[in-house]
Amino acid sequence: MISIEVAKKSLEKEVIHIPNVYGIGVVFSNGEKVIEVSVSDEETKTNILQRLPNSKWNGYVVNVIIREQTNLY
Amino acid sequence: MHNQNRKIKTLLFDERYIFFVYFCRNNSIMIYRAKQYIEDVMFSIIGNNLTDLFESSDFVIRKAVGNYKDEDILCSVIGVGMRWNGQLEIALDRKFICHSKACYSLLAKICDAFHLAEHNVLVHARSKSSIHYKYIQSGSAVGHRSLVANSSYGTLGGFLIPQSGDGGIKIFSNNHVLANSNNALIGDSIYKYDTHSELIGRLENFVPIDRNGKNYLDLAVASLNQDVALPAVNHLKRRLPQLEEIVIKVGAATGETFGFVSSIDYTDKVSYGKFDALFTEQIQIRSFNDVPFSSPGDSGSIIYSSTDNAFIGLLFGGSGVMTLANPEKYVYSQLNQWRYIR
Repeated sequence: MISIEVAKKSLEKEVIHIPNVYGIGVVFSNGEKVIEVSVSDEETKTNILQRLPNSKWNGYVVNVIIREQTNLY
Repeated sequence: MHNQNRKIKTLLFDERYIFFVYFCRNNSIMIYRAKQYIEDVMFSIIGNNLTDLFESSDFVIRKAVGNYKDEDILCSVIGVGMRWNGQLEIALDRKFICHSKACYSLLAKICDAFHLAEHNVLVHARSKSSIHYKYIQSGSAVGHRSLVANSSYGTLGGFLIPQSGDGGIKIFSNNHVLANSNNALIGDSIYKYDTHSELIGRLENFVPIDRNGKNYLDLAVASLNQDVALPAVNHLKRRLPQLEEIVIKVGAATGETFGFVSSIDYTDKVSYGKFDALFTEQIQIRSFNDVPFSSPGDSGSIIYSSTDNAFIGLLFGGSGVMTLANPEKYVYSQLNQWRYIR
């Protein structure tokens, strides 16, 4: 099994070019490392989830969240 | 601390000057000698220490007023010079002079010592001449002139001193804070943002934001003007962040806040207004509750570990409860000729 970091990189290549995908990372959530994909809306979320068998990528859980784009502070 | 023995050697009524008092009867020579003498006393025992200057001039005045008992009138000589009309002018610090008798006693002693008429000497009180220093520290609100002109600002991250050799102290923050997101020119004015914004330095360099490729840093450096004063500073350790560790930042907008590192490998499209820039291998920080770890104005803040105070990231953006920061290792890749202080 490949590492979660390598799995994240391969999913990044698949989704980062989609306009309403804002970000992707290996994130610590509820006591475990998961891959998080942040998007702008429900439609894009559905689009991403359709690419993931059982909401997983290479065996790792993928959380797709809706949020605003990162702004400069 | 200055040496008591050195003080004793510089008593007001020193033999050298008694010699002149007896053998010179010309007022202008005596006024000149009195001035020279007071200058000697002021500067011979002070070294380069300003505190010593005022302590030592207190001493002169104490001797001059003799057995005057009121300790509250320990005046300070802050200046001595020749006036346009030939008078000897002695200026005392206004904050020490609260009793006209002290002035008069000094005047009388000097006239007596140098055989001068009272109208030859003017003793008065005034405020000290001073340079107006601008104070800044890690966490101060700063910005490129175009930001400050629009009532916008970021945060001063930290200071840089050369690893070796000479060189002035510099400050670092984000490109979008000090270099107006690639739109500034080297040498542009950098301001401390306040109700009365003040010029503190000049843009020295920045890492350009790449609109088409990957970015790792939003970083700029500015040199400081000589009238900028720094607080007591500490050297800053550096290291890689660890997942889940608790971190702190002190930003100009939200002050000190705590959060935890939720990712050390985050890729994000960050909005720069007119364009988006892709940042990769970034640190993500989340707050413990619904209160954001950072807000607009906090860009440029140093993020450091709550356990060992090590610098781990440079805050530059965020969204809701999520904050994004450049890893320190990339900051160091650009600033490895310098040492961090904050």
